[in-house]
Amino acid sequence: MVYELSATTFSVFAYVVLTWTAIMALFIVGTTFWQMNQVFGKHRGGQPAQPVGGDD
Amino acid sequence: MSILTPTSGFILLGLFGIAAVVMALSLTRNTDGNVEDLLVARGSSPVPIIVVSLIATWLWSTTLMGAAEGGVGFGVSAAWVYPFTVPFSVVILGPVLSKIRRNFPEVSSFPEYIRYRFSSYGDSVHKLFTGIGIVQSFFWAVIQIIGAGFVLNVIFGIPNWQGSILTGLIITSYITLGGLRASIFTDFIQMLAIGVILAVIVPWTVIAAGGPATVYEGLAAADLPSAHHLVTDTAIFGFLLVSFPGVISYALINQNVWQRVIASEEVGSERYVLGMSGLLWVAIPAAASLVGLVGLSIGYTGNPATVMPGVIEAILPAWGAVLFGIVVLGAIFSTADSCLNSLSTILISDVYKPYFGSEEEIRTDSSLVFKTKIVMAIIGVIMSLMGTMQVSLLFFSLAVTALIMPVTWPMAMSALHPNFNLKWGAYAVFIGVPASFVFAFLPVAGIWNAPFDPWMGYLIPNAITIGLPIIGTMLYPDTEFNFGQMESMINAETAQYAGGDD
Repeated sequence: MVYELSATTFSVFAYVVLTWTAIMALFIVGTTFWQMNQVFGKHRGGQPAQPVGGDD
Repeated sequence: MSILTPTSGFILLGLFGIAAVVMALSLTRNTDGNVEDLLVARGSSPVPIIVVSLIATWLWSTTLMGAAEGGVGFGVSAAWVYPFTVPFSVVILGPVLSKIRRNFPEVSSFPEYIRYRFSSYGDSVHKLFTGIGIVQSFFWAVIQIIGAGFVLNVIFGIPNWQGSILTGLIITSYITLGGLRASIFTDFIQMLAIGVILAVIVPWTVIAAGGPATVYEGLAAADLPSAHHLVTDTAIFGFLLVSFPGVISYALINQNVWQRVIASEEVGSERYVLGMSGLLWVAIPAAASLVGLVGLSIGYTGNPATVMPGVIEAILPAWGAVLFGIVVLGAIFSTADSCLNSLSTILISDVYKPYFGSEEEIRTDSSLVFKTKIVMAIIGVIMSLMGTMQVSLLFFSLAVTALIMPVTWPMAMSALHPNFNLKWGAYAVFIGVPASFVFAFLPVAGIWNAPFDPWMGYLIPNAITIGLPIIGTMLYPDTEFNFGQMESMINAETAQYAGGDD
């Protein structure tokens, strides 16, 4: 009976799983915004201007 | 209910196909124009994108449907058994892949690593690994395409063969045009949809069923004994110990994983990429098994294999089923397109390059790109046609697992120990593959009524492939070999073409 879950433990277990799922989704959404910033930020002049001929 | 029609399914597939093809063309606009770049895209993708792409690679229809089936078949214990598989493989074998990538950054596939490592032993081991890599990638893709036919049929009423062919042809189109870049970025888009939808529909399903407390009451009263126990004998011996040896190879003998680790732009990020993706992946089968537990608690009596769509259709409105269809199709597309690209990579790196062409040709000859795309398209069409078969997905999965399981340990040991005895390692794989077929595949597929439990059958080939190389290496260590020589040999072949301009 050591491994029998109580109603409370099962609820905690279920909420941990659901929270983990939300974290996974947030990571992907966050990565999307990061990637969009990487791609479009440069086009909008979001990066500091580089001196001409200064890219060594 | 009018949204669940074949027409809406065709429109959904068509829109996805057009978007994927446009993305593939856009991603390959300014690339190097050689086969190596098309298929391997070495160091081309940011680390977070690779993490998400790896989650998609380990996520296929079985991750959702199989984990939910585990929930309804084994109870609460299934919620940790299935999610245990990928992290277990990553923890045990991820460091081996990481070591190979750091020491030999110009290697493109796991058979190619074996070709260099077993070079003093001849071609036979490389040919065996190449054959296994080809069969693995081909049939995993076929399994996904068959699964797509099932899902499109259940959700939209599209005839199986039409759904399979359409799925196969869409995948073939964008992978042929965009190669690995298209695979990684479509993985990303698919995972964005999958992650967000799962994070909505799973809690929604649990709450619609009355919340965790009500689900628990249903589990405690379920026909399945010990459904509310965290550990049960049946879950350990019927589920964990059967999946445990079979999935050990998930991180190492998997060209889809190699492709993504190699495409990561930072050498040295392998452990983070593998660890983070494995950790985040855990949420998906755990959430799917929660839906299976909901099914068990409400007395679901349909086919256990389809408990996830069955419960979602029963509890949520019609468009909940559409969302679930998008999730499963995303999982299927991401794995199938990875397999087509992996198969093409192995054909180029391990069949064409060593036996018919040269390193120079695949790194510089732009005319080879067109020929490779033709071959990819032909393979994709064959996969699509084979995907119209109405066969058991489980049968195919077992066959592929039985084939790849025995090559895992000799490969891992060969990467870890310079004194690894190649001859005993070769004996291990040549004995281990047929042993795995006999003791693991035949009994589990129901072809042979073996006088032992399935989990024992899976342990036999593992014992052979662990034991023989260790005994051989202890008795006859190869003191001549060192990894520095191997690195020099690879560099001698690739140095002038490697992109080391900075």
